[in-house]
Amino acid sequence: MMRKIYQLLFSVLIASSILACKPDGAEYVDELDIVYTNYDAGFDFQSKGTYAIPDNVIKITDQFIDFNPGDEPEYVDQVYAVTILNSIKSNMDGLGYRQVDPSANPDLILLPSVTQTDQVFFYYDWWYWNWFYPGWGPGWGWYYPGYYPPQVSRVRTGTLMIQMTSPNDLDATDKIPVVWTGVINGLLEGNTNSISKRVNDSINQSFSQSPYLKK
Amino acid sequence: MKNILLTFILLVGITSLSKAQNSLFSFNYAVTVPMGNTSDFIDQASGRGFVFEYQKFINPHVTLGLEAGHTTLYKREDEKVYTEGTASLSGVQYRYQYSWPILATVNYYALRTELFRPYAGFGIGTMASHRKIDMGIFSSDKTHWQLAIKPEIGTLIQPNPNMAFRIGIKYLMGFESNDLAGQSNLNFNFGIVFIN
Repeated sequence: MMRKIYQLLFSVLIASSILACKPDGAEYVDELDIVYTNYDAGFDFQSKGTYAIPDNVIKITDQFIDFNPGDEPEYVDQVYAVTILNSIKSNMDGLGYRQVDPSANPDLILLPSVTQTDQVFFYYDWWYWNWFYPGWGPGWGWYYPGYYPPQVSRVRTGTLMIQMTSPNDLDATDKIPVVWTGVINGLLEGNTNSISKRVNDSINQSFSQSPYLKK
Repeated sequence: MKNILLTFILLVGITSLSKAQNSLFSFNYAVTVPMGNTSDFIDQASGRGFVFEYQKFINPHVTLGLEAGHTTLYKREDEKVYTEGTASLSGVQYRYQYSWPILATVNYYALRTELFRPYAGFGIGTMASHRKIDMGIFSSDKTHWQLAIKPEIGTLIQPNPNMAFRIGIKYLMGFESNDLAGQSNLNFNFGIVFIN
C-alpha cells in the first residue's frame, strides 16, 4: 500500500512541475499594440481627391458634453498631436489625396481623437467637432453605414480613433457618414519618444491594412 | 452452463496471474506534435505535457485501463492582419491550446521474454481542448469537448518484474464538435511504469 502511495506522490510531483512551466505572453508594450480598421464597402474612395484635417487632436474626457457654440474641447499635447497629424497626413498624401482647407469643400474630413479608455471603441458626442467641421449645427451627427466598431472591454489604455467622414454625402436625416474608421489601441507606457514611434508605426499600419483607400 | 464454465476459467486465470502481474500504473512525459487543424492554429511542437495511465491485466496479454493527460501547445504569432468582412485587425497574437484527453484503453502486450516488451493499444473517450488567444490587451478563450480516439504502439523496457520504462507513440484524434473542427496530434510518451 505504501508503495502505491509513493508511486502516486512521485507522479503528481513531476506532473505539477511540468504544469508549472507555463508558456509566456507579451514581454514588451509594443507587442500589445493593436490596430483595428473598418469601412463602408459601398463607398467609392477612388472618386475622392481632397481631404481636410484639423491642426489639433481632441481629447475625450467625458461621453457627453454640453458645449456652447464657440467653446473648444480639451486638446492632446502638441508633442503627440504633431506626430499623429503628420503621420495621418503623410499617409493620406502617399495614397494620392490632397489636403485642402476645411472651407474649400473637401471630399473627406478626418477627425482624430484620443482617449484613455477601457474599450477599443468609445462613443463621444459629435459636438466635440463643432468648432471645426464646416457647416455643423444643432441636430447634426454621424453614423456608420453598414458596420459598427466593436466594443470590447478592460484595462486602461490609450486609444486613438481616426474617423474619415464624407461631408458631401449627408443622409436624409442630416447625418454624416463615417466611411472609414481606424482605431489604435495600446498601453500608455514608456517615454515620449517610444510612444510617438509606436503611434506613428500604428497609424502607418492602419493605412497599410486598408488597401481600398488607395487611389 | 457453458458461460459459467468460461467465467470460472477466467476467474481462475485472473487470480493465478494476479501474483505475477495484476495491474500497472505509469507516469509519462509527453511531447506533442500538432497535426491537421491543430497545426493550423499552432504549428509548434511542445514538450509541456504528461499522461497518467492505469491498466489492469485481464489475461497475460491484455489490459483494460484508463488514461488521463494534459498537454500545452503555445505559439507567438508575429504581427499579422486578420480580416473579417470589412473589418481588419492587426497585432501580435499569443495562442495557447490546452488539451485534457481522458480515455478508456485496451492494450495488448507481448509476454515478457526479453528486456523489450512491445505493445499495441487503442483508446476511446473524450478530449477537452481549451483554446486561448491573447491579442493586445484582449483575450478570448473557450473550452471544447470532443469525442476522442487514439491508436498507440510502443514498448516497455522491463529490467525487472515490478518496474519498467515505456516509449510509446500515439495518434490522438478529437472528432469535430459544434464549434471546433477535428483536432489531432502525435504524442510521444516516455514513462516510468510500476507493475504491481
